[in-house]
Amino acid sequence: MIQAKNIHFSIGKKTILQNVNLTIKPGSFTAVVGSNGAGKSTLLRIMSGELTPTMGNVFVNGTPVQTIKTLELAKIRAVMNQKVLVSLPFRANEVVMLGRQPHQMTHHDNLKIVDKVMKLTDTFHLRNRVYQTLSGGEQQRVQMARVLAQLFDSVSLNTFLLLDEPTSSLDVSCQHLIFQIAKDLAKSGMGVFAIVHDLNLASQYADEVVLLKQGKIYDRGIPNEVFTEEILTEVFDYPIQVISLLDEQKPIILSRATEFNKSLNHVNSI
Amino acid sequence: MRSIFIHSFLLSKELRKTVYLGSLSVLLIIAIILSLSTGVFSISASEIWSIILYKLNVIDGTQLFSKQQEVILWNIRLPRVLLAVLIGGALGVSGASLQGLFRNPLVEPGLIGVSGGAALFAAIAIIFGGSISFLSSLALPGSYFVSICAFAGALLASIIVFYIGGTGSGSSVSILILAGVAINALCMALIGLCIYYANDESIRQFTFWSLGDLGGASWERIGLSIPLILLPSLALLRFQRALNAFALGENEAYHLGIKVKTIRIWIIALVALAVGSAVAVAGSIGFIGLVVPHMLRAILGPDHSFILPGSLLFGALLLLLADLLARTIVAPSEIPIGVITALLGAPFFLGLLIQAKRKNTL
Repeated sequence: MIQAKNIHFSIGKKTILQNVNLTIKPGSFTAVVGSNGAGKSTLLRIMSGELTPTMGNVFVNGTPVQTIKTLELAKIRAVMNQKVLVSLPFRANEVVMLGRQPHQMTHHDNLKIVDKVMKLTDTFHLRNRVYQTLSGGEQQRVQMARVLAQLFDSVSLNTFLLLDEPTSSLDVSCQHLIFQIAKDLAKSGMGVFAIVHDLNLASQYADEVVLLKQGKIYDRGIPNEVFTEEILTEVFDYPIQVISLLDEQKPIILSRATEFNKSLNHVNSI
Repeated sequence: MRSIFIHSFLLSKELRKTVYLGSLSVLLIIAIILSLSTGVFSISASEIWSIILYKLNVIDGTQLFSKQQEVILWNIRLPRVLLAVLIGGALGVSGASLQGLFRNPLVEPGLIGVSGGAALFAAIAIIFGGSISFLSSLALPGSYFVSICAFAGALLASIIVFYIGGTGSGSSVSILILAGVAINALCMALIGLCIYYANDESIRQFTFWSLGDLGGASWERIGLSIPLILLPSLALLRFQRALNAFALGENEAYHLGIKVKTIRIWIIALVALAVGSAVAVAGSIGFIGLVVPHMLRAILGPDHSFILPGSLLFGALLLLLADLLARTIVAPSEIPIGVITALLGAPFFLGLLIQAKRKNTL
């Protein structure tokens, strides 16, 4: 498991994260929600070992993350960021193949894995397209294929997938495709950690949700328990409605346009 | 073009690599033989072969060639051709490495300050060298003195650039590029100041130095160039996989298991050494480091396992051909090689840009 213990992170005098404790468990899908600037991406970067926290430490399977060799870490955890710009005109399948870099396997075996993960993410038909010519959503699916390729032959108890808003440019069906893949991987034993903006996706797919507000964990638990109107309204500073259908366990979250918008009124007065 | 070459016949990657790099090597060997035989005195391929075997004490065939041919080939052309190969290869592979490291297609080796620093110190050496008493007491031959100064300047400038921009993390790549731009501008200004105080003769000498010259090649210089130019160039070939990962960004490369900071330091240090030495030996030769990786990518695609060794071979090939032109067009005189590389390189590069703009693949 990946454990973050007493994480504090600040840049200059600005505190980004405060006393955050979090565990990514094998076989579990953890979603982090919170408003912009709550510290979600920073938390993910710390969990991945990319950033060193100001205080506290991150442990991967019991070992402090900073003492694990970069290459060894890459064999057990993959990270997908919101938007990945590729600087050279690589083809989609070449980008996915980069995910195989940490592993010692023959080119032939790697090609098979690339084909498989591209079929899984519905990008196989794009395999010979130059990455830069793909749409934002297609690029995101190709990146998903790349991180899947990175963890492919080791879908065991101790691998971890960290996703930073994996579906920010995707349409509804692709959103569900990506979350279903993540969910299936969690079921097969992987630890999945995702920053999710769409509360309904978090509600329907996550085993556990963590609500982050101003750098602190506001609450956590299974979606049914923590996705209540009071908690969500408090966390997002915006009136939010929750509908629980009787035949459906997962709550559905709604937000309406507010009747009176102070800031807009302010703009108009100028 | 690339799709026809690569995707219509699905050769395995290793086989493709062998084919492409093999054909580049063959072209390079042909160009070497051509360069060795061409000049005011022409020497045939078989004579070249006999002279080399004779010099290596394999045969005793003094009747197969004239003494004059032997001297010209062994003392003048062969060192010059080898130097062109070493320097062209170093410029090519350095350009490709830096473009990959900085994720920026406009980067060329001069950007990390080497060319500017070398030029400044060379200018100081050429213009004031004679008047600084302790330097002249070292009793070094003039051209060596300029080379040593240029080398020191190249290293010093790249260390400053790297110190400002290369340490730490985050957006340091753009800081590094900007630091390079600033250091180069500073060097140019100081060169201007030197020139203000210089006499006509040393201005002319410096101008020719700054346009590049392979004419000073000797076996001694080749001996120095092997550890200082060839070894770092070959060492850069180790970063093929890392540079492919860098194309995704430094953070993604880290997540893929690449030691980003260590590799950044290594690549910059090796490039500074190789290009700094190259500039010291032959002056600054522009455009090879910028154009060669682009030409290769247009044909072979962006994979650094082709581009790095390919740039080494292709850079060597191009500089060799440019030098052949430089010393034959106006023979027995010579055009500065930097003029040839820029005259031919710039229009070709513009053509590549127009093509890339159409295909949206830069």
